[in-house]
Amino acid sequence: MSDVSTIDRILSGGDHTGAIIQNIDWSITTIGSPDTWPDSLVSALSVGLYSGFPIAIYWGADFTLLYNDAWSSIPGDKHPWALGKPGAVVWPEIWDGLREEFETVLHEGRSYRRPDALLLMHRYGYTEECYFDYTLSPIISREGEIGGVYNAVIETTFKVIQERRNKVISEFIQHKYLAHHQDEALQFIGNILTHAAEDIPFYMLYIFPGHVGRDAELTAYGNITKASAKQAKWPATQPSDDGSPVVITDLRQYLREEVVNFWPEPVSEAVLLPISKDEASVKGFVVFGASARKRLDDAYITFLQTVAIHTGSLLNNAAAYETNEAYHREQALNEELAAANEELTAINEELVQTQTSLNELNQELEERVETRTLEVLTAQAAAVTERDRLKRFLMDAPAAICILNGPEMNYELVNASYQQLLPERQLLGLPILQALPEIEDQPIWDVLHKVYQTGEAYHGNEVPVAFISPDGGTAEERYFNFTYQAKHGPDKVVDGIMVFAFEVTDMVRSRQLVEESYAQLQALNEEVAATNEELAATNEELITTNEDLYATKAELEKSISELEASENRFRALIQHAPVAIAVVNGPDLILETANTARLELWGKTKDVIGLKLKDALPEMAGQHYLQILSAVYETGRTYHGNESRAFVERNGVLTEGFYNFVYEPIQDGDGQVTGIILVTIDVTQQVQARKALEGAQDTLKFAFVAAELGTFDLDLDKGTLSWDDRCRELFGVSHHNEVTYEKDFVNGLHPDDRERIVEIINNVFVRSISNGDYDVEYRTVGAEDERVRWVRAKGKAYFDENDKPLRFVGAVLDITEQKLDEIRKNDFIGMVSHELKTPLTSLSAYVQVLLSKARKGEDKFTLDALTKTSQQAKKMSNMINGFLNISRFESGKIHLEKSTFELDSLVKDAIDETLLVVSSHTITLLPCQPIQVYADGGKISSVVTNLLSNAVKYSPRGTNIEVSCIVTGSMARVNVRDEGIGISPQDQEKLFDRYYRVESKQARYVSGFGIGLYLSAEIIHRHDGEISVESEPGKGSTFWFTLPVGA
Amino acid sequence: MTQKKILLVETDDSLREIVAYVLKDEGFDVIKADPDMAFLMKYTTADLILLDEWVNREGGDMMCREIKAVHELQHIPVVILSTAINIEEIVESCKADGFVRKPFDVDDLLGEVKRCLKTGLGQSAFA
Repeated sequence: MSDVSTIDRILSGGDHTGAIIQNIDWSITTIGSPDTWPDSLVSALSVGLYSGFPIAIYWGADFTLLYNDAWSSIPGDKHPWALGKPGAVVWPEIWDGLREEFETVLHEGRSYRRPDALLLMHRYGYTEECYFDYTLSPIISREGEIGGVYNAVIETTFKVIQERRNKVISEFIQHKYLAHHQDEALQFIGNILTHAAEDIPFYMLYIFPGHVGRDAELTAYGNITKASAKQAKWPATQPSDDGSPVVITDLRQYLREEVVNFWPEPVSEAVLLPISKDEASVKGFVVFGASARKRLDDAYITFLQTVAIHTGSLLNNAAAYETNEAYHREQALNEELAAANEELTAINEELVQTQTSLNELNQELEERVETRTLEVLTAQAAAVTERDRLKRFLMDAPAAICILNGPEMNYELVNASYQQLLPERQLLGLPILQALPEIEDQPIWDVLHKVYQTGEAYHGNEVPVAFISPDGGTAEERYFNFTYQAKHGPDKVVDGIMVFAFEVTDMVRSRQLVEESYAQLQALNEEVAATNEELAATNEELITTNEDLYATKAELEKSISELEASENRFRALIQHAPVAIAVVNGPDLILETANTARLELWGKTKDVIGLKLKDALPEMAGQHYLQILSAVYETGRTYHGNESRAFVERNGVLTEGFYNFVYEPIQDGDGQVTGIILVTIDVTQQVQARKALEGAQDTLKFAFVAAELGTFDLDLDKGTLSWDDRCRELFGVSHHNEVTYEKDFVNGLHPDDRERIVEIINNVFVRSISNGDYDVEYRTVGAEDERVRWVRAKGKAYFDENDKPLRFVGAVLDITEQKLDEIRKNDFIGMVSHELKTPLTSLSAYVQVLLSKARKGEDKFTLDALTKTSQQAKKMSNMINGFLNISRFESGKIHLEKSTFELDSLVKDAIDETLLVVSSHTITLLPCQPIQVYADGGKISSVVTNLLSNAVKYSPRGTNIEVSCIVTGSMARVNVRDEGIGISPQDQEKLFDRYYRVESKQARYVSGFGIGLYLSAEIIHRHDGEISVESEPGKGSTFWFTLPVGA
Repeated sequence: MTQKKILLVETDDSLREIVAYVLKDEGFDVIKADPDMAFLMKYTTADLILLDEWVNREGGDMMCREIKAVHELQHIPVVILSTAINIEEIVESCKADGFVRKPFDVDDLLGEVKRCLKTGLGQSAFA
């Protein structure tokens, strides 16, 4: 305990803070009024208040805060409110991180020292980045109790931040002379600045272009989005004249997006600063963002200014270096020139290596293209075979089959069985109404229409069709069981009807007859019954009247005999009917009668008659026919079965069959069912035929799917176009709606191919030009996915007798991968040629310069050497051009530039040119008549030159080469005959292949890549000419080519 | 006659040096630019630009197109240096004034440069 006057004395020595402490009503705090304060607190406080260093005391379990004048600046705006408040109340923003330390000091007596600790304090209305050096130690009483925490503090914020900023500056100083050009300088600047985000959260660098008066351009930026950087509009587009900074405090107005970097608060201030002074060669300015957690005070601005100036000097030093370097490079030139000869040798080797890998590459690509082509052709052939098989099958099928095509229902296909139904009619090619005009008024016509419209199959049973003989005379009613099956085009739209018909007129007639006789029988029965009643009624009369009796008796006998006759007739009818008929009686279905056809169908003999049906046909157990019969017997309703499957035992084998049948109940006069008539037709053959046909159709579809072929079908008459799914896919169409030639096909073509393909198709429709053949490659641009696909299309147009095109059908195949391969290959070859030519260009230029200098001097050896070097470089250049030519020939880019010229003069010129460089051989041109040709003179000349140079290469020195030109028919022929090593027959075959070279001892030292003859052959073939060789090893060769004669 | 200034943009260092040498020897003032410096073209005051077609790999024709699209620059003749066989097509499509096929004869190069300087002057004088 301390008395009040002592405490007052202590507090009055503590300047302002002491006075404030005196004024606080401590009795309402957890410490209590000063007169109750323990000695240890009073001692600590007295030390603290008199100290010039910032000192605080956190007293008691809730760490109530007391501090001195020096400490009072640390809480900033919170002073003096903080006095007497618990630590957690004063520092809510950092207390969580501090509490543990404070607790261990208070309870365990530990002490801490924290140098340069980062404490983010909220002192001046914003969260500030602060650093403190502080100690925490226990305040211990005489009794050894710890009453509070003694806290001595020094703020090191300025020191820490200044050190950090100095590091940035020193980074700049270290890199000052390291950048050798602007890009490198920008990279250094970017590296340094992006790592200084605590102080420079973002940067943007603007440089003035060389031209005066233009605005500075954004050259680099960091830690800011591209969009924000590009769209930033600053209040000044020039730094102020005196180079003073432009401070931007409302950054949000100038930037599209807020910049948040390093600190969680968005950057709100920035400074625009010049990077150099007037005399500098690179001028510009920077915009630096300012930390959200630091005041933009003078020290901060000075730092940013320094960074800006260093940025400028890094850029300017780089520019200076560049200028200097250029000067040095020129000096190094002479040395390089000396190295040129070595380079020449190295390039030669490189060329040979590249050649080898090019060979391999080409071969591989070639093989892949061939394999793919073969696959396509095989698939196409399979599809065609399948189509033929299908047609043959249809034509030979035992069922009557026809295909009606289009809404007019033209007889597109009529097989033999169908034609037999209507032997006197012309059907094929005609619309059905023209072939069978009488059906227009009959229900069958509506049925056909309905099937065409709905696409649903229709099965007709015993449908009557009235045929009128062609002369308009007699009408004949015939009955048919038939199936109308809608035929779908590739686009899933109904485009025809497939008809399967079976005439059942005989069957129906027979049944009608049976029914008729039975009705007669019934009538007779009734008559008999009536007579009986009459008999009974007139019994008495009978007794009394003998005459009457006799008369009646005679009448009765007559009735009975009539009845018998009728029944016999009925049985005979049944017996001989051409369809299977049987009659069963009673609820047990006792087989009363079965005709021959029926027994044959069942595979049974007459023995079964009189048996119950289930005993007669034991194999029917488990099949549903007996149940149906029972139901007919019970309900009295007729039952029709259509193409119903049944298993019947024939010769001990259970056989599958399909049947059309009628179960007709027999009723007595009271409408009571007494039995059932069974009439059956075996339609097994027809059903199996149709099923096989459906199978064949599936196979055909499968063949197309397997080959990934799409199909198209353009009907020029109707102007309709059908595409199957695959074809739609290749045009990027996923829907199944109608497609048209203009809208879908022409628009779906790649713009670069459109004109060409439309012209080709127009020619396909002219028989005299194309014979209807169509085989093209083009690109499509997907209507929906906009993907570019390469497509190969093959097809044929069909014409009528007047050569008017009717239909255009064919298949399309995706060849995108193949094409991309080809393009890649050509790109590669083009690139390789470029890489080879570039050093060659430089080499050749140096040699030319040296050559012109050597010409002025006396050194003959140097002059000769350089002349030869120059010639070699030209030769190499020609070889590389050969490669390029190949890649261009293959991508179809070379066009012939044809004109009319005299072939003989061209040959003579070529010989003269060759003789300029060849002295080892003689070349004779045999007398030749003038021959006019229409061709590409430059290219033909290169062919002649190539043949001549080959002749020189492959024949011994001193021999003669003989050239002749002749005209045979419409072709001009040029021969080049040498007396050389000759060519074996197996080599002759491959001579015109690309890169082919004859392997032999004599030829080993002859230079060349084997391109010349390949290119020559390409050129001659493009002119519709022929090129070939006749040769015998050891005796010499004659190379010749032909060209069409004429202007 | 004042010395004509030629901006030479060529990727290959060694070729750039020898071409510069040849042009200087012929009395031209030459500014050399490698691909990194190719943007200089946009600010050039040269009388002719000699431009490698493969600058930045394949952008030479694009650069020529850009120059020909800028009003202040389009009068400057551009001569394309190229290894491409279809150079005529490229020159036509990028509206260059002339071309030299690599590898070239030094005399052809000088001939083409002089030819284009003449026509270029004519255009700027009378356009």
